[in-house]
Amino acid sequence: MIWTIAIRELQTRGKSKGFIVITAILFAAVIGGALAISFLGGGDDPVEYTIGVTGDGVDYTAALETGTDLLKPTVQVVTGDGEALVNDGEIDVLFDGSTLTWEGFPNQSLDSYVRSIAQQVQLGQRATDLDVGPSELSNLLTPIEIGEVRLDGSDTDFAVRLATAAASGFATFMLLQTWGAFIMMGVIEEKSSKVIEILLSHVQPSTLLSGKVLGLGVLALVQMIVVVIGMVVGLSLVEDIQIPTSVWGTVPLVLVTFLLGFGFYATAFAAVGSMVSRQEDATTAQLPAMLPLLAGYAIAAASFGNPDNPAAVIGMFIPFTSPVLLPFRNAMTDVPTWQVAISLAILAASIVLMVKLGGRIYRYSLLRSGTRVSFSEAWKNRNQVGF
Amino acid sequence: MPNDGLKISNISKRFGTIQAVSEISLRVPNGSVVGFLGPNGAGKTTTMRAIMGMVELDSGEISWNGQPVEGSVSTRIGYMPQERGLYARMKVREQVIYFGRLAGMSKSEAASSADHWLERLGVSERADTLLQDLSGGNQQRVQLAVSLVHNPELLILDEPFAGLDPVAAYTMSAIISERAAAGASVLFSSHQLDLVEELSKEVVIIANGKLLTSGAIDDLRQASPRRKLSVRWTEPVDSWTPLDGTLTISEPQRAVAELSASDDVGANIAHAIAAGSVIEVSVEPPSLDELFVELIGAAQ
Repeated sequence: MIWTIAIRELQTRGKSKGFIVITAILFAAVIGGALAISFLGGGDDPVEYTIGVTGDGVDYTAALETGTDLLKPTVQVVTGDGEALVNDGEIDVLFDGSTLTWEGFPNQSLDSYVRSIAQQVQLGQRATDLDVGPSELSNLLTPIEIGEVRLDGSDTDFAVRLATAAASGFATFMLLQTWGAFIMMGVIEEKSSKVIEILLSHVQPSTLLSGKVLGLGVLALVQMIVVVIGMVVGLSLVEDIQIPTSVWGTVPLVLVTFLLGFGFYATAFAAVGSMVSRQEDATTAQLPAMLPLLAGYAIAAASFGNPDNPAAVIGMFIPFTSPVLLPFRNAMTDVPTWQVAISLAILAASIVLMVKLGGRIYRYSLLRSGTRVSFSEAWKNRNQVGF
Repeated sequence: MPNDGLKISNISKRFGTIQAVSEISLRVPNGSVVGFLGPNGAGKTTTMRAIMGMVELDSGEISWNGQPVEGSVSTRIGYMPQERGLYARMKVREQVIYFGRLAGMSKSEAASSADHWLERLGVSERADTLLQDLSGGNQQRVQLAVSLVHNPELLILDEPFAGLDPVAAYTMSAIISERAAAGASVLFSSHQLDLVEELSKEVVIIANGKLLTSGAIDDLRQASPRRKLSVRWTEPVDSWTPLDGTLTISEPQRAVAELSASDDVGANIAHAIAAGSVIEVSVEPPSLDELFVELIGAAQ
């Protein structure tokens, strides 16, 4: 019976244009995101700039023309009104040997480039004045290399950790929120269309709830897998990025946490959805389920700088916030396996409690029409279907 | 008795301060149609939902052929709630099959039964239409198909005639009679007492959550102390009045009087004959309508 209900949910939602469009958008967005990361991290072609030099700035012409992997400058000696050329966009910046003139806010990479070249030239000049030869100067300026040893053997660099944490935390939050809302709307639809009474004449409320969570859970998992595949496809299109093997280790944990989080939150959203009779009341009704989920995301968003802060660590063991914080912290920092296991165990056990609590609210509230059912009323009458 | 149909014994249910149902008992033997009557708020819907297991009773028992109504037994019940509703954006045939599957049928059984009932109810041409695109009357027919798809042996129909056009009401009556003839038990509520009288031999009447009376309609009518004396004369008579009782219709050639138990029916007939040449005279117990109004009036 649960499967019959699950399959209907699967077919109804899975075949809907909304699901197909959202899944396609998610896939495209994740690939686009991966490509964007590659561009931000350094594309194949250096960016071209035109630097105008005037006055003492002309002395820097040869050095400025050197360029870097990311920046290909063309240096133009300006004899006339340099500021007019900047304003007209003919040149990106005007350098007179002591001042950089911009049209507006400085371009950070070009600004750093010109200042660095000017400093090198001036250092060379001062070295010559002090009779320091080029090789001695080079020795003086050679940076000291400081290596690092990671006792836990991890090889993931910070940027990859950041990207993985952001992607897994955000995707979990987004999909739990989206599918929670879908489940809630489905419950309200069954109540408002009155089909619920016929359904309950055939199946128990718990069976109906389980079928819904199972059916929509499969679809939600499909979208989560699409996100992961999109990430892989996106990153594989970028030749420069090598995905460390440790990232793949986080994928199963992200999926398992998502599934458990889905079981927990889907039940919660179904319960709060059953307490109202009209779609118009959905926004207010979802708050009790929505706010804890949002809290988890907010803690994650505030913890990028310090993933070991007490809120993130404690939140990882609280079932309301752990579906977002566990994959987030696991990607950001090295969470001991026993902590992962405890977090998952608490979340799994909480699903049982949520199914009992939410299931009873659901059972009582399903046939109640009119005004919104309060938590105390639903709990007091938890052993029956209300009218 | 293992095959005594639906048996409700002394069920009670209170919602907060409201006693919705109090010590109600009734029986619907296999192969019979029982009308379940009562004014709005009498407790009919609560009783029917209790049969379907949706109300946890404070006391009392409900059984069908000796077994509690739960699990596999409940899948043999066809239920039409007072508040109709199906999935608006689901195709008609898919919807009927889905509910057949929920009642435990295999996919092929449900499909074949859905086709049968959609044909029978005259909506087979709209089988692949979304429910929301059907007229209200056709949606009602689909609702009935959903109640019947699993060929239930017990039908619980809450106001099945409400909102039906005369053709659909006729089809509904015919199906109820057919199902009973095939051995099913049918309990239905209705405010259309003429239809109740036509379809069922027995009724149960409740008010304020309490049982007022139950039994065969004829017996209940005969048991009433009231009688209706109707007289028709060949010629107009001068303002005839009965010896006892109350005159309810007074026309030149016709009169109807309500008599009570203590009134002498024979003396009143003789009194009418004395007034003129009588062409027609009848003494009838109250109709179901009148009996209903009388019982409810006394209960309130």
